Amino acid sequence: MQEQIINIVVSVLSILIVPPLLIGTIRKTKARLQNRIGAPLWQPFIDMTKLFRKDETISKTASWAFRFSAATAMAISVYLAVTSPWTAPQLRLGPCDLFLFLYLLAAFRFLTLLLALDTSSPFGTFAASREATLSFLVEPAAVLSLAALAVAAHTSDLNLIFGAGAPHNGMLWVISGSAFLLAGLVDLSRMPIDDPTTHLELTMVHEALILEASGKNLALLEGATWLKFAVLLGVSAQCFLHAFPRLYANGSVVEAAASITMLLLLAVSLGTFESLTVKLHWRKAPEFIAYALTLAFIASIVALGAGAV
Amino acid sequence: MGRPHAKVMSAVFLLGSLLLCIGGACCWSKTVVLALPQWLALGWLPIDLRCDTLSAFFLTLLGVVSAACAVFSAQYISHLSDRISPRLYWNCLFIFMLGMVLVLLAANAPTFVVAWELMSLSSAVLVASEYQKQKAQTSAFIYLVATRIATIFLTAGFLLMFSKFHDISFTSWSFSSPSTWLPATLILLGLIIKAGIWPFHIWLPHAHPEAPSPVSALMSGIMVKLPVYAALRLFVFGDLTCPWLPYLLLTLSAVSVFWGVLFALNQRELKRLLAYSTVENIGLIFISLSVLLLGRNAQLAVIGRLALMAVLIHVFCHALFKSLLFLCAGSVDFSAHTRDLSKLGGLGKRMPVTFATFAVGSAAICALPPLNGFASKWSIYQALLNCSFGLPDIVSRAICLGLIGLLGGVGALAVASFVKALGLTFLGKPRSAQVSAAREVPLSMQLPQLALAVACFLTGAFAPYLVTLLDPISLAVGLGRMPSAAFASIPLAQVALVSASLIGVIYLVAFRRPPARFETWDCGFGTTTLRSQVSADSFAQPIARIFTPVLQYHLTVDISGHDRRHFPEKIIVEPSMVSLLETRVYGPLAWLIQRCSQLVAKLQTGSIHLYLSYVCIALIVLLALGARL
Repeated sequence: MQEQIINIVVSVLSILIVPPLLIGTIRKTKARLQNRIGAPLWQPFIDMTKLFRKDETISKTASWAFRFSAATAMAISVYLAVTSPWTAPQLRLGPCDLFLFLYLLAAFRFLTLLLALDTSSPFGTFAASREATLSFLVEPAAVLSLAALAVAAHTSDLNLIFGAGAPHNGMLWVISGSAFLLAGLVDLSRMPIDDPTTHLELTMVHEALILEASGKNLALLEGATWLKFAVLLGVSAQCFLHAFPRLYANGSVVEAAASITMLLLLAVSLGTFESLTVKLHWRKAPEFIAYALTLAFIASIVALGAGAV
Repeated sequence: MGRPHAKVMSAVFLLGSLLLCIGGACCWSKTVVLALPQWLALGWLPIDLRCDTLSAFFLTLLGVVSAACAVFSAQYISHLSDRISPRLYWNCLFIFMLGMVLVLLAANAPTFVVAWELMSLSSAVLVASEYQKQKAQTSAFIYLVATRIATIFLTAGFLLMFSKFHDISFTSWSFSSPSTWLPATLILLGLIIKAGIWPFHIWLPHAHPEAPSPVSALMSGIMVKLPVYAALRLFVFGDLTCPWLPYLLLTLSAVSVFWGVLFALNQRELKRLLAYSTVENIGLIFISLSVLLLGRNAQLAVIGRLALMAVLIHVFCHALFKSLLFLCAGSVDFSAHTRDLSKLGGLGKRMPVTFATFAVGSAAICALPPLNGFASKWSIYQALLNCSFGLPDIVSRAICLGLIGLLGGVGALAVASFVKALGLTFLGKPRSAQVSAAREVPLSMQLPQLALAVACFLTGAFAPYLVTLLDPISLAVGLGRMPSAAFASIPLAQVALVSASLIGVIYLVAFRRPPARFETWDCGFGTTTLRSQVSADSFAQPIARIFTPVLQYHLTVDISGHDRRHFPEKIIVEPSMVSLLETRVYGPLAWLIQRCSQLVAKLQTGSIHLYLSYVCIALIVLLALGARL
């Protein structure tokens, strides 16, 4: 009972704290690599509270879909965060099927695209078209990397796949995790597909999508995106952790510590990666996504081969 | 009888549809056999009707969709009475419905073929409703040719089966011996031409946009599913054991899933977009059907059950949301007088109910949880996933896993297509003057849309209960009970409730006050023009560019003006696409047929003497043949 309460407290706290912390970590890493001190780690919290206190101004063209999309995107992110195995200990408020997981993400995307089209802003609409293209390119990789795990585990429930009866095939976990991580980078509009720090409308995807949002609406959208970021990064972190069953099978304290460490480690490496690479030309995006797809194919082959034994 | 009164006809149809639903419900768990009196068959082959759970399932579905179409039609048809003859419409609709009901009830091959023809020919007339228009004539002709070819294959297959079993009733046919696989292939070809599977799908994007919207809804919602019914009736109830036929079907349907959605994304016309999306969804159903056959051949009841569930539930859900979408497209056409996405826009504020229902339909067809589309897409994924660890040979397992990846990409493209359809029609600003004058459609047209949208929610939330109702079908084909317990891992009702309450909380906390309103950001250049919004072509351009070879996508950019580099006066960008199948395959084929017919036509000179000599020659040849036998 006591353990359960601790679990719930820790998970709720991690849902509230980890996403902004990850964003802060990436920003800090990039700043340090550029020889700047950079904003403090908790700057994203401050940004968020500032935005939440502001009122919003929206386009005259926008319909009810504009606010509804932002609210629903947040709701989806929260639902994903409380059901999916992205960190330990998990809340597990409900079953998390891998296809439900992916299609909730698709619903998130559907809504943000609508939100962009709602204002009739040319920026938002071309960003929507780009986002749709990227999602099409990356979706097979995202599906296959998780489906490979599902094939090995003979179930599509992510909580079971990542649970105790998980297949102990270290290579499969690492390859699937990397494929999902790369796919997640594209889905989250991170480098090298999209540069989240620039505000040149012609190059950006995510920022242009939410260009018309302001105040509370923007806070909701950014918060939802951060939460989604944490969930996607967390799932790949869990994949990497599962490659080391000894580390994982221990008590929940070790698990929790390992999960958070792995997440922060990934955030730091993302920051480093984003400092070292440049944003790819839009037409080169498929070439980057091909890596994710290739890894996902390899994961599928490994999973199929392992099942045949 | 003078001009039929629209309301009366609509009420009659509504009553008929409700009777269908009741009839379906009454025959649900038992088999009713009805042998019509011999004199009705005019001394020819007997008309046998039989209704079991499978027929009842489709009948009920037909009843639901046609009830919605009946209510919708009243205002819609009287509004279009200058373009469409109401009398022709109601008469043909009656024959069309009768044909579909008889197809579902037919217990023997001749009854089936006659009903099939009734359905095909009456729907061809409905496609040609606006027969003064050249486009409608062409579409109806293409559709008619497709149905003729389908019937030829079907009849050939039936005749071969008859010659083998010396029996015309479906229950006595079995496809388990290799000698029946040729007729099975012929029948399957006939069915998939009618269903619109690649490469035989080209009639769909011609026929659906031209037909009046309620007819498109019926055609896309129910008629193209009847081949699925026939395939289930013949091949699943008839134990098809052919090892290669499921793979053939799987390949064709996998191509049509992708092909359909890719072309859907690149359409400018709303109903054409919906028609291509039907190609995709029929592909999904046939993928599940092939998985069902594969699973049965491998003696794996688990896979068979899941796949059967996927087939039936996707048939059901697609019928609901596709007819909803077609009715909404009809409403758009009704109010805005155009279905061209590059002229529409901003209808969301002018037609709020149609907007909301179209949004529900779009979300459902994109398989977004918690709507019913997700329940059915998930069943398909489950069937494929179970194949990829359950099937004995590794090649089939790899194929199934690959298909999961393909469906992922197709799902993303479907989201793109329907964001395009929804966004360009209802969001933003109107792209033409006629659209800004649009008003919400009358209540009798809103109601069917609302009912179908609510049905999309409810059937999603109650999918497990729905599936248990289908138990008799899977028991009848020896697959055991439906795996309704599997739905425990996707608690759609819970997803809906949790998200709804979260959204409520967010609205209460963050969105209590109405927002300040201002112009959309225009970079300080003054207000943006209506044409600075995204267009139907530019939205799809990045994806179209990737598939340049498939779509034959070509972008012509013409910049003109005195100092054209820095201050162009005129910029014209025009994308062009060519349907490869139509220009490279069907075009030459049609040309060849025409040339051959011209050669044959030379026999027909109009000279009675020559004709008499033909008769004489034919007589001599026949006599000679008779003497030899």
